[in-house]
Amino acid sequence: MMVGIVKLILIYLPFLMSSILFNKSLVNMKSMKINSFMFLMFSLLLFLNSNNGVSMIGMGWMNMKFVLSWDFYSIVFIFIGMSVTWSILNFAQWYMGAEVKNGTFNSFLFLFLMFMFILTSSVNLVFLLIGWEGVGIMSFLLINWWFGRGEAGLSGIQAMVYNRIGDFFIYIGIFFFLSSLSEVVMLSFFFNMEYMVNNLILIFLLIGMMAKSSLFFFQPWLPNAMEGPTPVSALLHSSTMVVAGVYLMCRLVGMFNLTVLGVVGLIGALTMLYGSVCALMQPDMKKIIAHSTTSQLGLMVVTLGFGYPFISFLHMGMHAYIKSLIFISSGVFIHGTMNLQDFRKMKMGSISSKFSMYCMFFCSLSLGGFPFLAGFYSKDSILENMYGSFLNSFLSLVVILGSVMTVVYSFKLMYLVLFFNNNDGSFSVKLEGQESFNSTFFFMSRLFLGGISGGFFFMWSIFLVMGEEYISWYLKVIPLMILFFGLLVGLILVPSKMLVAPVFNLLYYNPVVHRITLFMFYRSIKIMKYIEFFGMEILWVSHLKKIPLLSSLFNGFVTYKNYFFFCIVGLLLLMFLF
Amino acid sequence: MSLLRASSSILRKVVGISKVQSCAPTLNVLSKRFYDPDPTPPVYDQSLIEGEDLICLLDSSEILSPEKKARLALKYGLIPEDYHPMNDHDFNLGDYPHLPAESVLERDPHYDWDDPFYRRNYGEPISVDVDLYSPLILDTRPLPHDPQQQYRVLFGALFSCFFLWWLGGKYRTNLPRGPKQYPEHYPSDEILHSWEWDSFEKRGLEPKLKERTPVTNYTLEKYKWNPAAH
Amino acid sequence: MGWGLSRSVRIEDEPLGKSEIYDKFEDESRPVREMFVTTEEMDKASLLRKDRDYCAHLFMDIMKCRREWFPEYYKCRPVVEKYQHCTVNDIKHRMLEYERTKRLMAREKQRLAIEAN
Repeated sequence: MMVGIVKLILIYLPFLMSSILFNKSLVNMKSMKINSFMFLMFSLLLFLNSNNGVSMIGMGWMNMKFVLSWDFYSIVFIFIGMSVTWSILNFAQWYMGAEVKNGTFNSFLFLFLMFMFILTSSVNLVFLLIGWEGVGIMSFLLINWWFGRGEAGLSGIQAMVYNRIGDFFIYIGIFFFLSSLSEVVMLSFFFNMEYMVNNLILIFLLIGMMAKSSLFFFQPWLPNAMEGPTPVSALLHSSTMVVAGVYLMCRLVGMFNLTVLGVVGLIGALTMLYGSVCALMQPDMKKIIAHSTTSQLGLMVVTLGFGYPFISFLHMGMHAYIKSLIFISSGVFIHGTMNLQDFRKMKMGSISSKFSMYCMFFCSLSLGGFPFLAGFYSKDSILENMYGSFLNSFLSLVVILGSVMTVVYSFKLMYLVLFFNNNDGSFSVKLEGQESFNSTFFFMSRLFLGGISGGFFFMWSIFLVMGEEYISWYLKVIPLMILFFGLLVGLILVPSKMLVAPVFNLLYYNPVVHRITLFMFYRSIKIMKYIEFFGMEILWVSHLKKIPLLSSLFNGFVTYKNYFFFCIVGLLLLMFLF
Repeated sequence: MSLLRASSSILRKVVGISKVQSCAPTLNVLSKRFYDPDPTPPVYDQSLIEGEDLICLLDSSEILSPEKKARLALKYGLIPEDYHPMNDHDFNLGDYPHLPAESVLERDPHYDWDDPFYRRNYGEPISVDVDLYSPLILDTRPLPHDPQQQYRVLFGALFSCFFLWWLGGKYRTNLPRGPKQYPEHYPSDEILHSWEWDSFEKRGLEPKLKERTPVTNYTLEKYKWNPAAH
Repeated sequence: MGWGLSRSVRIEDEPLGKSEIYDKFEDESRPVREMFVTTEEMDKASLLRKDRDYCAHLFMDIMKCRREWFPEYYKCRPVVEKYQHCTVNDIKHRMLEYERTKRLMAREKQRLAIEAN
């Protein structure tokens, strides 16, 4: 034990030394970031070593206890989120450091992360809503950061509206919970509670998570959220917001029964297929990555549907590292090409470092499941455990198909980067590439380590006991076959420009789904208008003024006093009625 | 709707008013209440509009004569061909024009609008649902493909997926398993499987629930599994 | 591999989700399933509820190994493989129990039909 700790300190000694020596004071921003990260890492390792269940800190009254839990899921998520956000903040400093209100932007990113940590570390469903709502608000503020553009505002409001739908459903679910069980603490859900909860409640909760994670029928807001700055996209897609729904589902999946698990798997499978087909047909660089996030979220949810929250959580972590690095390197590309995102125009050559190219290349490989990179460990575990699960056989087929498509669109991104990036031009181009390399290497290399070798670390130190079955060799080589088949398909299709054909572009279905989803809202707005018209509008109500008893109600406008009075009366009436 | 109308007519009879107010009430209550040190010129003050210039009720049985239609269209700044009163369309909004339900995003973005963001000229009549058709809320631009065909394709794919899912659930590929066996029995397990809720307080207060009883399970094997042999 | 064909279409013939039926057909003449650690030892190791099964001794070995080789967890690979082997055998045992209970249910149904006639 002691030898181990000494070894550990020796490994991280350079980090600690750099944090102390290369800054003038310990209260420096940079050293604070490094020291907090080191603290988190140390506490994580201590937690792993001690194998305690849960430690909590909090207070409260009756069932309403505000508890910050320090259990497996929350501490691993905090570790992942911290290490990803550290790099993303540095990236934001480089990418939009010259813009106005940079400090506000950074504080918004921090707030975003803070709400996410509240969400992950609270075990009470009611107090979890603080983080849940806060994440929604911060995503709205950050997506329309450049609010002068109409599209940014539109996509921000779209994200907000979709999250509102989900929030209302999750409110209803929690109210049902409170009324039927009188308990909202999630710790008990780790146990087997299959026969306790009605399916309707679970479906309500599921719809809330679908809207937050942009699963099928709620997916159109995620590609539109690309209107925000690239650091926001990197944070939004990797470790906050979209994984919030999947994270909550990981926690609650212990009480889902087989029927609801089948529905969860179906939703995940549809999302995975839709997202991967969308990503195949995209010419826009950032939209490919956005749709790949959708498909990976679908894969996580299918894994949850098979009943493996642990593996789903591992894939979430690996995906966070990979996707944030892909976004950051795409940001470097976009910076170098003077805000060009369409890769058909990138043929002219872009100014960027070779390192970002390698980052994108290897992380795409890792996402596709190249052996012994980070994505391989999680995807391999998913595919291996899928055969042993007693669930739908259609879903297993869809997972294999979606994995092939994942490799194809990853290949498309790699092809884009390798063959369209000609920066061996003039001296100034090389100089600028070197400059961007100098300023981006330090934060990209950390994520590069996570995205390449993080799988080994996470698999063998944190998620130690994983597979429950040995499988035969022909099932064992399926991930490798998927990789090679996907690369073959990509090699045939991508250079022949078949994957840019707009006829097969499923993105045209996004507005259709959007209109279907909002159709109900227009109906409800219509009903609300009738109520409003006959409740508040003129004509027949105005005649009530002439009755002296009621004249105080309608003297032009409603004051706060009247409003308060009627609220109290109404509440008392409700209390006596029920 | 009809119920509300009937109730309003009954109320009218109860209160004893037979005469229907023809025009909407003005806002002069508000303008009198608040002192405005820099008053708007009387021509622009909307609260001083009186009489026929306000939104007035129309009788739905009456057919509009061309003269009256032209007069009303002029009142709202429209040409008579474009003017259709909203009288009794959804609910009675008088002679206010019924404008097409289109988002402002559908309008020409390259035209020199007075308000380029909302794409609107001065004096143009506003839709009743102006908040709904704002550029930030609703986008009613035509889709690049035929929406009906898109609906058909989408729902066809969805329902085929549902069917395959149902089929896959019916014909599973793996052997089912029995419940997992444990060497000891917790009383709290039964509580978790029942409909009653097991709270931490209750389990802590009753030490009976902490007591465990050993359970004997049986194997099907004649010979015990030896881990060293593998 | 054809496993799906072995299942009956009628859900009432399957012991799926009926945990009481396993107790009904319990046969005490069979050899007793051996547990390698006692309850007190598991308490001392502070095992969670879900880990207190018939592979608990191997799970405790893993934890000991992790504690011994603190940062170098890859040295515990053989111990983990042993534990995985045990869990696989546990799953096989569960499948056998399922099949046994299903056949006994079918036999009882047949017997009841004969008695009724």
